[in-house]
Parts: sequence; structure tokens; C-alpha cells
Amino acid sequence: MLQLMNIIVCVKQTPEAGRGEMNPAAGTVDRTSQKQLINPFDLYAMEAALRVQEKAPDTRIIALSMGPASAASVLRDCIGLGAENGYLVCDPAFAGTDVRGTAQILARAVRVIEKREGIRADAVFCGAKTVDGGTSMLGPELAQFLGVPQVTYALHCSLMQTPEGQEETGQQEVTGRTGLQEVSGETSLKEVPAGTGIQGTALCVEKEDDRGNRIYCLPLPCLVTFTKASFQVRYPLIARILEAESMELPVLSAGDILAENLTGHGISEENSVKAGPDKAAMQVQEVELRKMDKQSQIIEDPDPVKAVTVLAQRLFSEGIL
Amino acid sequence: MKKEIWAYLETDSRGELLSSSKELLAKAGIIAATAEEEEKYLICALLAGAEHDVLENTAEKALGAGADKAVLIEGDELAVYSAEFYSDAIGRLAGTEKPKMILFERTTDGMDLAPRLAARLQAGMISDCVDLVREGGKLLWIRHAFGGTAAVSVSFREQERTQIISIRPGSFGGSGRGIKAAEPAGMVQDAPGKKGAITIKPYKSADSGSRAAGEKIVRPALLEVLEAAADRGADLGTANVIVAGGNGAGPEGFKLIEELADLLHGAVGASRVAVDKGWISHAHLIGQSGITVTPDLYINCGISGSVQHIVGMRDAKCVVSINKDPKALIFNVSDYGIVGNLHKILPALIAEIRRHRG
Repeated sequence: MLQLMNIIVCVKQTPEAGRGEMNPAAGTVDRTSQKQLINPFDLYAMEAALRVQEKAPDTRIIALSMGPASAASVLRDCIGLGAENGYLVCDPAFAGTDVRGTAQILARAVRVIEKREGIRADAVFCGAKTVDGGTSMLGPELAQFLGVPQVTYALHCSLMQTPEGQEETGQQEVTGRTGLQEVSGETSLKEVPAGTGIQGTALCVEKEDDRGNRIYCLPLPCLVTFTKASFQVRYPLIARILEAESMELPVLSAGDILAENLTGHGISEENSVKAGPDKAAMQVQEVELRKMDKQSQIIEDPDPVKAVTVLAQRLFSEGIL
Repeated sequence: MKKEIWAYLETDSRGELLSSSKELLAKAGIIAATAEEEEKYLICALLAGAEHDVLENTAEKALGAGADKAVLIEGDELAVYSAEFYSDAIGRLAGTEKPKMILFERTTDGMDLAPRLAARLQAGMISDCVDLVREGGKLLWIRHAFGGTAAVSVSFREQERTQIISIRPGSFGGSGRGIKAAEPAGMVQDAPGKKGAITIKPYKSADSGSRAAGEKIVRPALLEVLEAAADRGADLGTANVIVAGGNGAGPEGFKLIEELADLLHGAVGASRVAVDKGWISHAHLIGQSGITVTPDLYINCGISGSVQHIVGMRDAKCVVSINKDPKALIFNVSDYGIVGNLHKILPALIAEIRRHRG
């Protein structure tokens, strides 16, 4: 039996790439036009969740974000795409929290959502990085604080299932192409190969890797971070966008996050959650714009040979070539 | 805290140190020199795995490449890399040994493992660091943010906790574009193995005292390794010359691009469109969702210059752009540009370089 999947998709509101934050030629920031949007990598995570839901329609998708009240807009974006609801972790006490504290808080938020919705979060999906800070640290830190296995920089994933009647055979390494089944029909699932020690429903994840991409069988509950795959992300449905506008989204305050009696593998004790700038591990000393002061020399000559001769002369004389 | 800097080293399938790991040992040397106060920091090569002989062999190479000592974490559960077991094994050891810093190269495994280890130790981490400066007795780590448009200097606030740092390949040492793989490789001498400097630490997850009884570490099962993009793409991070193609190139254009890259002993790069259209593999992708490169010479052909691409190449020393559109944004970030058809210009450029070299 295919297990009912509950996926929590973590999203962040970030400055729109290429619009507000900077003019690459002048090296200037134009904050007036700075538009806050959903981090593009989080859209890949959302798309991956929607693709799981296409195969297993009972899949529940809940979006989760931490940020100022305005970050509710990125949760509404997720609802427009197909998430059933969105939780916003929002409290002045959490402003200025660094990645470590954010991962601790989001881990506890996942446990709060599980309690309130009466579910287990079978999978947490995140973007592999953000376009603002771009540390790529949140996913693995969150996985550790949740005590679940991880795959990072995933391109796509699909459901896998232990074939019926298969017995537990103990964990051993599986190599080669033996395990992976091609999905033939719309409803058929890849089988979890024997010998992985993994039972029931799992995720089959392709991870981007410079040494050759890797295919993993990832047992539930788990965390996956997604990078850009070759497929396009879908557009939201107008009807869902309108619905999302009128929905009241649940907000989790510091009280909700810290007061609940949450326990479990990896979850930080209330008093060890490092919220706010005073408990941050890191301190930003300075942010400096990196100007591009290129004196571009553009050669326009209808004769390619002449243009190339001019270019080559300059490159040779400057010792570049 | 121990005055030690641990460098997490990786090997290829034959147990040879990756060039990025040799680079990391050289960077550790720079960091030790920058951080040094009264007492010198020891550089410790950190290796994990299941095969003692292989690890010891690698450790000896690391000792010849700049490490003062080596720690081998050995256990059957470490036979295949996994963030889950490796972070537990290293975290447990670091928890008792308390090194000042643990360094990672920003490789696929490094970016998977380092943040999980940081959370395991509840430590702070700086990722994708490009440089280090000392200011008023304080160490400031430099990293890029907002798609490379801002340089952020960050310091650790907790001096009594191990600090986790991942470092961008090809960066470091002054201008943020110092060390290339070739240089640290040159430092490797065939020094005789300093046996006494190698320590072995056995690991079994069940021995952990920090987890409640019965809580097992779960990891994903590796089913398959797809054929590697066995080409120059993997060398992009450390290449001195890169020739890249985009939407305007087409499959024919990429043949010329490869020819020029070969001629200049360089690597081949690509924009997102070229990868999506299947002209070249993902390993060659430069930009926001690919890799960031810092070559001495970046020749791009038929790339219009989206912000997503520019963030990946803006730190190249010299940028040469070939594009038929005189208004292409790429010209704004170029040192030299030729307006014209790349299918005519590239053959002319290849011929000109050959002619010049005689």
C-alpha cells in the first residue's frame, strides 16, 4: 500500500534576482525597485512536491516560511501553485536570527505543524540555496535538527515502494543498475530494491554531482533540497491565487515555537534555541558592493578577420593570450 | 580549544587526494598563518572511511602536502560517504578534541556534509568563503552574497566553539582569486611518511553517547551512479581559460568553442539555455544554478548576459564577448567585445591564434 504522503515545503522571501538588488554594470543597488519574491530555488522544491502529488493524489503539501509579516505573500504563492495551507513563523524575537537558529526554529515549527495537523511530516523539501545570502546551509542543518536523512542538490524525485510480500533482509550496499525499475504506466511506482533495508514508501532522488549524478533511495521521513532541474516550474492557477488571498494563514509566534513541549531526535531544547542576533553564531561586520569597473572596448567591424586581428593584437600585447 | 585546524580531505575512487583537497591543505596553511597569535596552529588532515590501508596511504600524501598531522576515522559505516554517518563520526570526535576550525572545500560532498556537521555541533558556519583578513585582532571571513554583487565580511562570535568553514575552489590569498590547483600540487613533495603523526579513531554509531538509546542513524541508499560528465566541465572551477557558449552558439558553435578551448588549454562553459537545449552537459553550467568561475580569461560566445549568468563569471580577470547584438548586456561586463557572427569570428580567431604561434 502506498502511504499517504505529507510534504512540508520551506520557502523564503528574497529580493527579486536582477531587478532590485543590483545593476551589474554600475554596481549599484536600487532599493526602491527591490521587489520581494519567493526564492527561485524554493519554487523547484514546490514543483517537486506537486509532481509527487500528481502520482499520489492524496499527498498533502503544506508550505512553511519564517520572516516578517510580508512573507505571507510567498506562502500564498505556494497555495496558488497547489499547497493546501501555509504556516508563517513570525515574531520580533526571531528577527536577526542566523542560519543555525533558523534551522532550530524551523525544526520545531515542523513538529508544531505535525501536532496541529495530526500528521507526520514524511518529507521536508527546501530550495538548495537562496538568491540573497546563498549559504546553502539551511537544508542540511534542518535535517540534522529533525534527525532525518537528507539528499541535497536534488534535480527531481519520485515515489518508490517496497514490492508486496518483500521481507526485511538487512541493510547492504546496492550497486549497479539492478534495483531501479523503469516506470511504465502512469500509476506504477519504482520498486524499492531488496537489500537496501528500506521498507514501505520511499523517495527515489537524483542528486546533482560533478562526479556523475547519483540516484538514491531515501527512506521517510526525510529532507531534500532542490536545485534547478531541466523541467519548467508550473504557473499558479488564478482561482487558487484568489482563494489564497482570502485565506487566513496560521502564524506561529515565538511562544508557539518555544512553549510547546516538543521532543524528538535532534530537536533543540527550548532554552538552547539560538534566536535573535544576540545568540547568533555569526556577526556580519560589513557588506560592501562589489563594483564592476570594466572599460569595455567594443570592436564593430563587418569583416570578422579584421575584427579578430584587432582583438588578438590587444590580447597578445597585454599578455592575456 | 585546541590550536588545530582540521581539513576534511576527499579522495577519488583510487584513493588519490582530489586536487581540491590539496588546494584545501594549502589554504589551511594561509589560514594558520593569518590566525597565528603566540602559538602556531597545527594543520590536521581529516580522513574518514573503512579501509585502513587506503586511508593511511592518503594520510601520508597529506603529510607530504602540508599537513602537520592526520586523523583517520575508521568504521564500516563510513565505507560509503553519507552526510548522516560522516557528520556523526566527525562531530563526535570534534566534540571531544575541540579543534578551533574544521575546513571543507566547497565540493558536492563538502556542501552536503559541512552544514549538517555544524548543526551536529551546534556550531556556527561560514559557507563558500573566498578570503580571510585580520583586522584589529579579529578574523574576518569574506564571502559573496546577492549573486556575487556584494562582499560580506563575517566573524564568528563564539570563540569557545569549533568553527566550520567551507571555501570556494580556486579562491583565497589576497584578491580572492589566489590559489589554483596547480600551485598547491606543486608544493607536494614526496616526504617520507611521518608515521607518528597519524592517529586512528575507530567509529561505530552505536557507541554514541549523545543520542538516546534505540535511535538509529538512517541514511539514503545509493542505488546508482550515472555516467559522469567525463569531460572538461569538472575543471571549470580551477581553469585559467574558459570558452563558453550560449543561445547563439548552437551545436555547431560548441564544436568551435571546444576547438578554441583546446587550443588555449582551457575548459568549456555554457549558459543555462545551452544546457537546457542539450548542447552540452550540466557540469558545464556557469551561473546562479551552476558554478561560479574565476578564470584569467573568459571568452563567451552567443551569451546575452542575463543576471543569472553574470553572477557566475563576473570575477573573471579578462572577459571577451562575441555577440551579434551590440546591445547585449554581456558587453557591459566585458573588457573586450566583438559585435558579429560567432560562426565567422571563432574560426578567424582560431586561425589568428595558430598563425601567431607559428
